[in-house]
Amino acid sequence: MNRRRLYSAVFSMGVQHSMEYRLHFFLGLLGASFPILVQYFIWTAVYRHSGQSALFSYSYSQIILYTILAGLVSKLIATQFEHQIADDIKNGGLNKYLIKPVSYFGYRLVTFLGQKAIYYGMTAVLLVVIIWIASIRGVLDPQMTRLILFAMTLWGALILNFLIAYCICASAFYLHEISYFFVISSLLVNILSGGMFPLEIFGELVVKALQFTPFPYTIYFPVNILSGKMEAAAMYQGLLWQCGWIGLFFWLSRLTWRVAMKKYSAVGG
Amino acid sequence: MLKTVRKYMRLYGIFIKNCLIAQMEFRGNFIMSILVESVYLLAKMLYVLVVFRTDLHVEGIPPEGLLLFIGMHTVATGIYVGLFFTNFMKIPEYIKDGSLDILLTKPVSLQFMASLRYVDLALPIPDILVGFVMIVIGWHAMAIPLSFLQLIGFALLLLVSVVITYCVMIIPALLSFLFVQTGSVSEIAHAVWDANNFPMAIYPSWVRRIGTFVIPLFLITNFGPMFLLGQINWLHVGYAMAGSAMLFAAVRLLWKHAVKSYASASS
Repeated sequence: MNRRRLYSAVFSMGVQHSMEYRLHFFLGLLGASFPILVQYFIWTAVYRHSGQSALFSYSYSQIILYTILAGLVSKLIATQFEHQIADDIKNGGLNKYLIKPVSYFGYRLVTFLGQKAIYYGMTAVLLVVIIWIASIRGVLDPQMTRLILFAMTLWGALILNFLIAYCICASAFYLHEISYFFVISSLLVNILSGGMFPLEIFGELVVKALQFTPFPYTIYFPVNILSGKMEAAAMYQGLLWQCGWIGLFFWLSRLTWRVAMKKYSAVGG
Repeated sequence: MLKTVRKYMRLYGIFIKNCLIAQMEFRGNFIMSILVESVYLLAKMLYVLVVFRTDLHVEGIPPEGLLLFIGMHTVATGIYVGLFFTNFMKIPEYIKDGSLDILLTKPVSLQFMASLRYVDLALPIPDILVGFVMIVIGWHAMAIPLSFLQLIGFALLLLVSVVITYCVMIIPALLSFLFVQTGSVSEIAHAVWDANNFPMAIYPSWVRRIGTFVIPLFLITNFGPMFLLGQINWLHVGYAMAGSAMLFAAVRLLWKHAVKSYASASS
């Protein structure tokens, strides 16, 4: 089987896997809307009481738009493969990938993209509706450059988040009980990426410091490109940072796995 | 009746002892559990950060007073993850792999065995500690008298909160008798659980009505602080207790009904 056919089969497997339990899939989408709703009511109460037009440099409409977009993006880029990889390492499931002409990294990446394909399509439809409503209400100015850059950085965010998680997975070669570690790391990554609240709530100094880390380039950065909060120069600068982090994490993921694989003893299988 | 209650209480004590022994076997895991819940708590504390940084007042209650609500929510979360979470997550597994069969053969209530067998003693530590600290700060800041009656009322409403938590959060597990895969329903339930982080006054009246009378989620964390702040009286405490008892009876009936549809999946 040539590589193209092999990976298209893996991709389609990823798509099928995400649609295995359809009710579960659609309820998952519904579940994503609840935290957004809760935050909507909290921010409404906050702005109503404060009487100020802007808090943390966001107007009421901007913060609601941020909450909705951050909720959607964080659901879209969420990785759930960590436990499967840890299981492969612990129980010897990795063996079959080592002896076959398939790259484990490529297999995981393509499966991940396959699993996200339907989500991506649905998120795209939702985004069109949100952008349309927001532009009618004057919250958003849908400039073509911003839309294109948003679409580009969203793909970048998906890849960067995959690479960060894949690097973290290499620790499963050294730690036996890893599930706790994944829970902690994914939650911390989500907070530092601006998935819960805009980073401005931590103060200006923290926002500046975080810009030198990969985290904001997964949620905070793409969302603010679309919402129009980011100036043109900062958008292109951010895009370069995101590409840089993707390159660095790609190299890191290869390096950590190459080093960690030397420890692998290929038991079971 | 009293004999049965004593038997079940003794059995529950054995469960706790057994879980403690099991958890002490892997102390690293015990510490990691505390760490995991601390990170979740850190995420929840971001709400406190927002409240104080925006000087949020809800119906005249200042940020320090809102700590009563956030603290109560944190304590309730600790109780939920400590007493129920592991069990409710295991019920769909029991159904999926047929291990419910072995529980059916035990000479005790199946609901008791399946929903209360495991107690996590590590997870609730950070929540209960930090939650009570927040309640104490709020209690002091709002100049609420520390009288015996206030303490009794609050303790009774905490008990109501535990019963309602059990009844509401077991629903995804009950649905697994019908649909098997109910992970996303649990996800929704956990997302809705977080709605309790603030006083229900921030929600529109129709949401408040649903959260009080249809799925009484708001009763879990709102009634305790509202009682302390004098917004509800002893009559409401009585209603809450009667309501939670009725809800428990309804869940018991639902459980019995759900078990009837169980078809063993094991070989």
